[in-house]
Amino acid sequence: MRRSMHLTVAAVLFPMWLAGCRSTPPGKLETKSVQWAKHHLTVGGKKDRNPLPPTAENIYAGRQAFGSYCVVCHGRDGQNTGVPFAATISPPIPSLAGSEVQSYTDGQLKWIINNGIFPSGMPASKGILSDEEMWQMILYIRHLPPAGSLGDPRAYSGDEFTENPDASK
Amino acid sequence: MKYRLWVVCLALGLVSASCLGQSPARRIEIHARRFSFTPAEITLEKGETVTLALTSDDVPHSLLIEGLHINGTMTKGHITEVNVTPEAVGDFKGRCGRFCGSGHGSMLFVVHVIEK
Repeated sequence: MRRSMHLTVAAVLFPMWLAGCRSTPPGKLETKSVQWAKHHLTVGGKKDRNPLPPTAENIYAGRQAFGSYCVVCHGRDGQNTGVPFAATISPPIPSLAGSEVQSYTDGQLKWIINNGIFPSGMPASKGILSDEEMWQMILYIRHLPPAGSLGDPRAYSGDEFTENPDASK
Repeated sequence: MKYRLWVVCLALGLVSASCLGQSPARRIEIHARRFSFTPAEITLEKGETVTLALTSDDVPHSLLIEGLHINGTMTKGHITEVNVTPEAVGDFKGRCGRFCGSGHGSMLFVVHVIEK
């Protein structure tokens, strides 16, 4: 009796142990409930407005700021182009052109860039980017180019150490 | 002949006097280093032309002051000279205009412009 109970417990725990550390995509229910919570409960700044007008200069400056390090996860086009882990990280990185992201207000996007967002791999950028750069980046996010039109991030070109003479030592 | 000489001397005198009367533009050297400017604020007089000498002590930066139409690159071992003549009194905020690492967003600069 005791032995069969031990076997049952082991049979339940073993698969959990196997799967526990693996990165697996969230289910539909989890995704929907977390997205609802983010949009309506946890992400602040809903009423904050972008102080910058959507001029060509500001959108260009936003693209430049976006190129500082956002491209490593979001791609140059904000649509994950060339990002090898975009679909396998958990939760997957959303396309910034998609409705999940575009349905946030400008103020919420600023809040997310400032503070990062849980649960996801999105880090906080407060102090790393200036307020003005963040607002400019939001203008860029609202005016993204066609997917794939800007090529892949340099980080994934495979020549990270090519010009570093110390790399071969 | 004497009359021509006189005119030449007078012209030379006027030119040299006007040159002596113009003081050279004030020069302010500004260094950038992860993650601050030194100095981080300067005071200028309205209408005064000042030369900002920009350089970096480490990685590439830039001094971006949109209100004064300044965006000067700052690279190590090189001085970029930017002339500025502020036309309005006030505080003009600047920042690093080139991403330089984890504290880039905290690299701030202020130009106070006062009346003469």
